[in-house]
Amino acid sequence: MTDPDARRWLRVRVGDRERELPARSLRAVLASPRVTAVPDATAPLAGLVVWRGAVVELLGDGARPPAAAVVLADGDRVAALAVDAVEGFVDDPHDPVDVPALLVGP
Amino acid sequence: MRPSKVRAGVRRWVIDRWASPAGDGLLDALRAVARGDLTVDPRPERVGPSGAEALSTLVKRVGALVLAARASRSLHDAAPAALAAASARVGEAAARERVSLERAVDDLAWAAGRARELHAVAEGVVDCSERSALVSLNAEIEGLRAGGEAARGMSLLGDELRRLNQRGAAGATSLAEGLTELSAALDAARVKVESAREALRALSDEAARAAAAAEGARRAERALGEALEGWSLVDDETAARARELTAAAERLAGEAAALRARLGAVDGAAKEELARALAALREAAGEG
Repeated sequence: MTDPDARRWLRVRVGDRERELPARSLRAVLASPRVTAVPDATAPLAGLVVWRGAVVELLGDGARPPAAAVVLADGDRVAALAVDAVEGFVDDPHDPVDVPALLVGP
Repeated sequence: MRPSKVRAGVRRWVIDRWASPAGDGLLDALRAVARGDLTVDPRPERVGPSGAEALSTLVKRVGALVLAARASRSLHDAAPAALAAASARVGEAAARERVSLERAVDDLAWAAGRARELHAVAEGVVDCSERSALVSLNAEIEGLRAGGEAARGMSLLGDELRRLNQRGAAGATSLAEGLTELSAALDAARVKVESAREALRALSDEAARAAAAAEGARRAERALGEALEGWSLVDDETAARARELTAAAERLAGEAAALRARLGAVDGAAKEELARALAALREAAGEG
């Protein structure tokens, strides 16, 4: 049995780059999310998704439909990150994402 | 006998001997040959010297032709029947195999279609595994957020679900790939069997054409046999007799030529005797 406290990172792939998200910021993983486009939106805002009845911003380059979206939270700030694959939990992050900085908002 | 009377008698003998009977005899002989009778008598006294030679040659050549045709018929009369029987057997075998191949084509088409259906099912299993993996991932996230014993329980459950999903997804993926290969192989086999079926169809058609040709050959053989039945046999004995008759005709022709020479000599002697008689008369008249 694995100690959940030791698995504090979720490895995802965005394009050809693997990055890790801290477990404390994770809320959910959405497969093939339905994305609603936002007129005149610019990166990192790629559109809007619905999670548990709430409208959440989707962050990404918007170049292609995301294979999955990882819902992140930092305090009251909630957003989803568009990813191409979810690899799983790891203990040793190579390229961790600074979620508070990411969720400052576009 | 006076020389002029001798000469006229010889001429009449020659005409009676060679001209009129020879024409009728040759005509009768030709009519017999036309009826298929090659045993005609070609002697010169019946058909004349020239007619004897021509008739002998005609009988000889027609006889050789009839004998050759009979020999060819006895040699080949069994071939059309054998060819027809062989063609029939080939056609029947081809028809049986074609039916079997048509069933095989249907079976292969069904199997290929079934493989595609199973491939779709396998892809559905892969999709379910991926969704289950997502559910287990979210369960782990919820456990991490809950913390404490709940987090440990959710982590354990997530680990088990992930392992099961990985095994199921790997198996379903392998199954889908195998079914794709199987479907392609079945389609290729179906194409080959269809090609073989077409080849058998062509073989069956060829066998039918060969049977028709054999039947035509049998009809021709029967017609030849009927035609040959109308001819009298020409054997070696008849041919030898014809050769003897030809030689006799040639001898008679030589004798006729000698007779003509002698007749000319008689004519010359008569002229000399007449000259001597005239000279004697003139001499007697001069003395008187």
